[in-house]
Amino acid sequence: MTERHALPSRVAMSIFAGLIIALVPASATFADAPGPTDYRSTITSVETTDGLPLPEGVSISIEGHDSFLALTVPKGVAAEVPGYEGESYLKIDQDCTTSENQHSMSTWYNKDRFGGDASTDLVDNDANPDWKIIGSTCSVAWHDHRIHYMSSIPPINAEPGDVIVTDSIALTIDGRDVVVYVASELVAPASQLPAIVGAIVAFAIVTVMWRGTTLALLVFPISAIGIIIGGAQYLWAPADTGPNISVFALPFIAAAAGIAASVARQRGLLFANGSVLLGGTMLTIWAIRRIDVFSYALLPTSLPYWVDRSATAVITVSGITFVSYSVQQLWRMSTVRPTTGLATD
Amino acid sequence: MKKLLIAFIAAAAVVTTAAIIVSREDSILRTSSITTAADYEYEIPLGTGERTDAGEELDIFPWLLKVHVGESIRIVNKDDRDHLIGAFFVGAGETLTQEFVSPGMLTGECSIRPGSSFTIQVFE
Repeated sequence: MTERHALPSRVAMSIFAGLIIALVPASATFADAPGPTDYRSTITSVETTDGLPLPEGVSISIEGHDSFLALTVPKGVAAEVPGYEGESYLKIDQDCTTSENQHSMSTWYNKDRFGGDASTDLVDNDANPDWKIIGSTCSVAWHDHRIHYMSSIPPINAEPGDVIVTDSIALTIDGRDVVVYVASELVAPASQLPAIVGAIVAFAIVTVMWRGTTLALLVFPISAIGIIIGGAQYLWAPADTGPNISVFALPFIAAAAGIAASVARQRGLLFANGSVLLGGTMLTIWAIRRIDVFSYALLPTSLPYWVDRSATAVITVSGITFVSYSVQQLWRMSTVRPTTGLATD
Repeated sequence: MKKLLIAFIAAAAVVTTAAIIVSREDSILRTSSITTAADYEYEIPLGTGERTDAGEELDIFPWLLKVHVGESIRIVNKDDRDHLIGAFFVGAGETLTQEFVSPGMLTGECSIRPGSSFTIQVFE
């Protein structure tokens, strides 16, 4: 089989494999990881019924701006989290084993930030708990829907700074009753300027490089930016909140394709353009999956938000361009008979 | 061919940007402020928040309100607390008046009945 006949199937298989890798982590994630939001939730106070302070080493926090309520206890201290209807929901044993009651309605309702499907036949709040071990780190985080507003669209007439949600959550820690009071406020909308500037700059760069036929060289550096942005998002979210590996795995695949495209430019147009197509596809999927960063106020990252938004815009424009460029080149190759075995852009 | 593709990319970028900006607005059931008398009027009395804290179940709003396009709702909050009434936020001492201008459904939590929702169904 000649290279001209073998390479199309290799390129197709690479893209197919990349898509599989891209899609698998999303479905395998055990929880709905923190995403962009317009609300900032805070714990306003923690009170114990006996008035005494919590045991040393106990930590109660909100993670993901408004997404998760997280509880950590030291080894030797047990904790229980009742569900919305007072049923057994979560528990941390003294040996740090964390378990979730499969019969609890809250277990299923809390699977998603905006409310999971709790209509499974397993739900029976009156049944004896069916504990499923979900961890062994003395900590647990869950989508407690009392800490956040349950819609992605802000309430009509609400202004930034308005407290949209106030509520309380009862826990039992070391055999003592604890009440956590929370409030969630609407945050001012994000500026579109970083995204617009990023898109314009990226468009100018890809246009120049397209005309100079050096676009393949751009795949790796753009992918590297994606790895940094996605890596910052992945590391920002605590492990208990189920951060999704695809946030940096997709640009990582694209970076590998970018290296292949750069190296292969002198080897053959088909391999180089196939690599650009693979890289562009991965970057475009990555950008589409995090398109919400442009419209929500708070982002799931430790980086400055303007960096995240402008970089995402750069990658969006670049990814679409890589796909368009490589498709054009491959289409041209399929219609023009080559005059030489070696070709350059 | 190249010019066509560049034009295509530019158009895709413009369309994507526009879609990002308007996508969240489009999904909102549109309402508009009015100043005349409303078809459905509700009043949240002073002390409502405290009564709710005490566990009292107040029957100010229905669970489901069915309305038609062109009708309107007014919520007068005489309490000293902000309240979330379904999809509406009404600050302490504020009055909210809205006209329903397109069919759809508005739903959200109700701070007067903790743990429950208030839904408005708007028909043509």
